[in-house]
Amino acid sequence: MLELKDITKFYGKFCALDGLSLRVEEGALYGFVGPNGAGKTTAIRIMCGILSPDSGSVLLDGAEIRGGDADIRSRIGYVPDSFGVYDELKVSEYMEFFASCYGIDGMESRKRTEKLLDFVGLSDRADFFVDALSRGMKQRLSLARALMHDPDLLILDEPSSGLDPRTRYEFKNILSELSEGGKTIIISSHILSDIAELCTDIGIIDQGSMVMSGRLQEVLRMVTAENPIIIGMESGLSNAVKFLKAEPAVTSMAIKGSEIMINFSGDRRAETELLKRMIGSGLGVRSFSRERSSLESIFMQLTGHGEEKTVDRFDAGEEEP
Amino acid sequence: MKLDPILKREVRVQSRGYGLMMMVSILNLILFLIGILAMLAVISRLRQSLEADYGALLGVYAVLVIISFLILTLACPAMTAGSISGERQAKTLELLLITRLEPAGIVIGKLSSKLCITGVLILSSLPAIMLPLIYGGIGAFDIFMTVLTFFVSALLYLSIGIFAGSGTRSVQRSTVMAYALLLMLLLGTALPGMIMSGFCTAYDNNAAAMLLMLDPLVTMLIMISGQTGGGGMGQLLYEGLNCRYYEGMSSVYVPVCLLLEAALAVCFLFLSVKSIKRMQGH
Repeated sequence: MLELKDITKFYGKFCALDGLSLRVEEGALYGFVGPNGAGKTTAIRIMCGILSPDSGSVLLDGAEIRGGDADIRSRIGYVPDSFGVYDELKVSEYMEFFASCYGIDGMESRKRTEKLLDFVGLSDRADFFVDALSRGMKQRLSLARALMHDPDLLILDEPSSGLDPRTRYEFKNILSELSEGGKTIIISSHILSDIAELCTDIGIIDQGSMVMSGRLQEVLRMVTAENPIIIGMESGLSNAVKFLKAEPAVTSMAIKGSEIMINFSGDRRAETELLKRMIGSGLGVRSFSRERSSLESIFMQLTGHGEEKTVDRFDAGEEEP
Repeated sequence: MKLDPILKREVRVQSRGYGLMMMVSILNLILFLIGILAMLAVISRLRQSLEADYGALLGVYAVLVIISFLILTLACPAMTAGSISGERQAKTLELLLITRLEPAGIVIGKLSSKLCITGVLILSSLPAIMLPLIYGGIGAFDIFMTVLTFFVSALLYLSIGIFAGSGTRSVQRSTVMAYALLLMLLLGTALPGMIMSGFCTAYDNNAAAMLLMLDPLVTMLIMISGQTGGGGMGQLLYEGLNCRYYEGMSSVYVPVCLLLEAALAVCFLFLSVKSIKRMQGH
């Protein structure tokens, strides 16, 4: 649905985006993750067509968004990181104003306003001035505004930042509902737990470049496959260590308490064979699993600000040579 | 009838506050006070001398037009200086740009909403301006030309304000820039003429005369000079700069100047649209 091809953007001499490419399929809920200053907002503004890249192209179903006509723009709904509200208007007037900006007027505009305010839980605030709304309410109003013209693609820049846990939860539910309704959604967020719960796809950006992207479960599985195997021993720890030392696929080993952590170069089939042989040798194996990766650990690993948590769990002094 | 969304919103917000009502009231209060005081002075002189001086009544008209014009000159740039930069400052400009609205549409919407307010100011001040005309001396065409001159000058001033706001991110900066541009237009067109007049013989300063055609204040002075019959301030200014002033010049001069001012306003608006697009990187 949306494709960014080799996007470059400079602010003076500073390179904000350096050959960024990404692809968002129709119906996906795409999490766009990256540290502060990674270029997320610049990329999102380019996706919306409100900022032009220095090079590269942004395609929405094959049509160039950059300098695109109103028909292409009106297929996108955008919720910026700042609220962008007219404080001097009432909530319903604010909605009707943006409806008229999309050419929706009169009864249709009022109907959509009512429906959307109800959807985001603001129908009882329709006659309030926007100025009187709380931060969370303004954010919901911003989302309702972005949905006014029923866009195919919804882009949200840090929608949950600054919201309390309850409002965040409600906001997440609204987005899930929209995604189930078939909308393609792109969310940039720092709150990785939200992304992990909500998104079907993920793109991790750092210093203006995409460092990893794909289906969230595949990304997690791919990174997990490189994690160490943790073997919990019920008994025969020293025998198990001897056994594992003799295994050519075991490249390194560490012990903590009754657990052995091994770096294993084999595939899933080889893992199964190793477990079978251990049990066949009479070793008291209690548990056998790859250490699971969380989105947070992947993020920290890929953006170069983290440590190898798997090693931290074992005392260096107990590590086998 | 479908109204431009920006015009509709601005009118709605304007009508909600007391700002417009206050502006209209203050402007008319000033004009009526000056007008009535000046009329009383003329009438008391008439009672003492027993000579009807219609020229003095036309002088009152000229003063009222000039004051009204100066108030308009001061108010207009401030009205629009924050219109684009204010949207940018409130982070609402990008929300508008992602809708079906084009930068040109946004600029025209902003301009038309402020032109409506200016129209209310101009038309509401007409009764005060025409106060001395109960004794005659000015025709309907003259009134039409006065209103037209006011509108065209307002269009130029409002366009200057929009242009100043289109390239900046803060309302304060755009307001300062709008008044700097206005000053350049009003004084900058006269200053070269003043310098050149030292090197010219009488009635020979043609370049200065050409430049003065872009100055709305000079256009208005020449128009009043034509309407009131005497040379007045227009003649004084022209001859002071060694430019040729001749009777009846306003009938050709004023329409040409108004066309030039309107063209200049269009240039400012065009540059504003370009400026918004440039800030997007298009």
